[in-house]
Amino acid sequence: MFLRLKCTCLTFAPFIWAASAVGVGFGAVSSEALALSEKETGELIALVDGRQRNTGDYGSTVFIDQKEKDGTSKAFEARVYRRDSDDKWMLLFTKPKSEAGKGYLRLEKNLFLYEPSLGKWERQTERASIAGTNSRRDDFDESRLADEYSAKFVADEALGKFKVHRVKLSVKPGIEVGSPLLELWIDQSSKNILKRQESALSGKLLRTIYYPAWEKMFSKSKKAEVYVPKEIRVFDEVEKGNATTVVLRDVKLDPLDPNIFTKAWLESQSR
Amino acid sequence: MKSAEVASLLFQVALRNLWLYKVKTLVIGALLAAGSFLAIVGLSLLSNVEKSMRESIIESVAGHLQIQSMKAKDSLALFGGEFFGRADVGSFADFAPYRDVILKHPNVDAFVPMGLDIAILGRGNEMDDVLDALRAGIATGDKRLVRDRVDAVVFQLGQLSLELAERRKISAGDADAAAQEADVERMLAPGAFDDLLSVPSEREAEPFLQFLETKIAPLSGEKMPIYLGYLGTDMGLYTANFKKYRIVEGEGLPQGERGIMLSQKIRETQLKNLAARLFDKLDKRVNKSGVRIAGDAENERTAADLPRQYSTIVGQLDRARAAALSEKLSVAGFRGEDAPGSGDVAKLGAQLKAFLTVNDENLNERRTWFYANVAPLIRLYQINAGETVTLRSYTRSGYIKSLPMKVHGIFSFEGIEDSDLAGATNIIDLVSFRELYGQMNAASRAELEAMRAQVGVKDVSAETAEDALFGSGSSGSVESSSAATSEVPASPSDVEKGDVLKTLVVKPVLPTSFNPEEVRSGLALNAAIKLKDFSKLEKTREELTLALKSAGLEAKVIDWQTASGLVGQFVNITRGVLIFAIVIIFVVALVIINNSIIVGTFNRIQEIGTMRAIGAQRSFVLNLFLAETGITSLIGAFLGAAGAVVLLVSLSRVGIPATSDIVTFLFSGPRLFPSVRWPVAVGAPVAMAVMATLTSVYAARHAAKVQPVEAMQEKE
Repeated sequence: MFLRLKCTCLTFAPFIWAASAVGVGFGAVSSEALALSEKETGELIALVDGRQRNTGDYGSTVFIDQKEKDGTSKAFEARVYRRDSDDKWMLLFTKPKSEAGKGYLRLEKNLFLYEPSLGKWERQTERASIAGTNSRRDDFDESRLADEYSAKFVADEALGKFKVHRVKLSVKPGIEVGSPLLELWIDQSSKNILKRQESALSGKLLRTIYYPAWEKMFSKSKKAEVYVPKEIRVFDEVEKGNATTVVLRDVKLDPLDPNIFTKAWLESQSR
Repeated sequence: MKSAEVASLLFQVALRNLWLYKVKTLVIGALLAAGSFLAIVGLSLLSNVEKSMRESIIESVAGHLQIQSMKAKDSLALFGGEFFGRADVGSFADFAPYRDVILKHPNVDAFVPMGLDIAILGRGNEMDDVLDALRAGIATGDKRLVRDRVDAVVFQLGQLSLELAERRKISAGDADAAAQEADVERMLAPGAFDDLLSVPSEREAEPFLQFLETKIAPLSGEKMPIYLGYLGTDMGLYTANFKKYRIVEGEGLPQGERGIMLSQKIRETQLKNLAARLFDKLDKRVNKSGVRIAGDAENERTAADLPRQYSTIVGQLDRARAAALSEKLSVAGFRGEDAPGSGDVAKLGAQLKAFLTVNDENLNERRTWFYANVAPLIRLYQINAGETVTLRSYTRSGYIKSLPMKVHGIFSFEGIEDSDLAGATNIIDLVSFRELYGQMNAASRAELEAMRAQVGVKDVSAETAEDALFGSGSSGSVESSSAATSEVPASPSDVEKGDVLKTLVVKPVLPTSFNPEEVRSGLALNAAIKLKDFSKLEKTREELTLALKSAGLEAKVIDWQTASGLVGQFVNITRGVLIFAIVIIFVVALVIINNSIIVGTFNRIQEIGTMRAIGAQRSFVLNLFLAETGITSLIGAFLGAAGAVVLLVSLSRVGIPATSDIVTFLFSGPRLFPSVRWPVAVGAPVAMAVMATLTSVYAARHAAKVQPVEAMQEKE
């Protein structure tokens, strides 16, 4: 007997990598451009990547609220810690009470789950979902749009009040990604992604994601600005009615305690 | 002549003819006897199996009737459906109104809410376990404890080293495999653990521990997860109404307590050490089913697989226990002289491989030795009563919900302990079931709303998202700036500045009980109904259907047989096959009877013509042929019935052994003690004789048409 999984997952990638972005200048791309050449489009995507890439430490509080079409819902609050230089991250649940103290610790290719009520660690499999969602650990990888996709300018258009560049991305041959086709609506003025649509190879639309709020921060470790999404809205296009809201607060880019990415530290949070 | 005299004459002539045509009489009589025998034995056995199976199903999980939502996409299949997969059997958001209507019926004794689902039980590997123990040992600062646990790790590394060497034979030239093997050998080198043996702080030991946990432990591989079916129910109502439920170890799950009762069958077949399981399997097939190892493909496969399980034993031992076991094996004659290396692990592995090599001659002795000497040294079962396990289940929305649950005890269904079908489910409390199903209770809902209110996120639908987020009502800017942080590298005190970096004090909550009122109403997927009078089942089912409809409640009321799934249909299928076989035999008998009369008519034309010539009426001839058939059928059918009764009575004393798990379930125990169904034993031969006689009317009438002149013509 087995279990059907719906594609209602929350993928962490959009907010994790965005949240750990490192800002770089974007003067190379004109904010008044009406259309972008192939080269300019590639540069724009590389810029988006660059702004969202971080090699320093990162910590934030994340609130995730998932609502299902059948009326069920789930929400939790967690702390996210990340250190790209060592390929480590940690997710520590703080709310609700039933999840508090539970945590995921990723050390290189190992993913461990801590159950504080049992005081036990459990090695998670390669494909294990994260935080009771369908997210997998590879969803936590940083943004590599320019490396993984070929970008093509579609149009300059309006998204509400905003003038945006609409760019279509197709996965490069031989590269495995969650969504082979992407469309991005990038704010011409701020160069922040405002909307992202993910599609299957057949062209079937899977998810629409909105980024209505970004925060510009200075990372002292990188000595550059970082663009962090403060709010993300994910709408499932397959299971219509399923939606996820992600809110990031209290983002810190200060170097973390070297011992934070250890089992002992995570255990100590719930002792 | 008086009619009595005619009847007497008719009877005498009929008997004379039956004797005269003995072969025909014997053939017809034997056919009727066989048909009667088959009908009585078959229908009596079927009736007994049905009764036993009914008891198994009704008294373990199903009850007499079940209710299921009309919105269900799949039929309820309490003992397994047609397909693997998670069936959508619907649900009742609140079963209380249904219960209230149903309990008003005078024939309803009890209403037990329930639901079936499946959970995943995650498992780590042995190396993770010993490393966790080592980490815990270091945290205590106890030198002796650390030394013991380091020794356990080194012992496991020895086994891992041998496994990697085996793997190398398959994947020679793999650079990654070579590097992994080198890592393990480095850890096995003398002095590799010296730093740990000086018992540093956990922080100092962290790099070394992380190396072991991230580079070495994954090499031990991943175990396949175990899928555990479970029934969520109101334990108080369940235990009061299902007579086959029996606690075999630990304690029961009290009303109002959270937890799980583990099925003994599941523990034996899924959670037991694999070497022990293979021993049990061979024992069952060889000693109970009488199938020898030699010559039986399945037994030979199992026996060949047994020595390979030595690692499931070695993996659970520390050095001291391993040495003790090695010593015992040596005394028993297994010296491990053919060990591939000189280490303790290699020697014990060779000893165990030799010990686990079984055949028909040594199986019983080895199995007994295993349980006496090996089992006490290892963790025979992965889960024991009193422990807490984490169940993970996919909610209806597709998300994983995990719940730590105490294993209060082990249970079985009395009489059907060996049945896979009856042992396919564990039992948990209804409140935990609802949580694993994805339903939130009032407190959880309130907490969730408080979290939402604190974050202050407004509701936005997919249809209006663009306008709401970027349209005229939006601020027109999506970007804000936060104050730049210090350019100076952070000191430890800086690290503690922000809230997100402060140490948390989160207290894990592991609820162990709930308010019993919570299971008096609320979500259930289905519910069992126990009746006072089983004989009124169908009438009650119809009346309950009507009563629910009248109350405006949509629900299907189904009987135990339908609710049990394919298993419940077994009796119907068997009955169909049996009746088909009886009908075939009967039709063949009737055709033979008819043919024999018609052929007999031609052979007996002179006789019939003579009878007619000396004054016998056509009716006399007609009745004579009918009497001959009737007497033959009646005697044959009753002889068959007598044989069937004798067989059933003798079987009722010795019993029919259940040869497989499924048959055990159908018999509701290891043996079926059938009883004679007297209405069938009397009715079947009478009915067969009457039918045979009636179907011979055509042929008899044909005989009665023979004219006296035909006899004379024949003579000429």
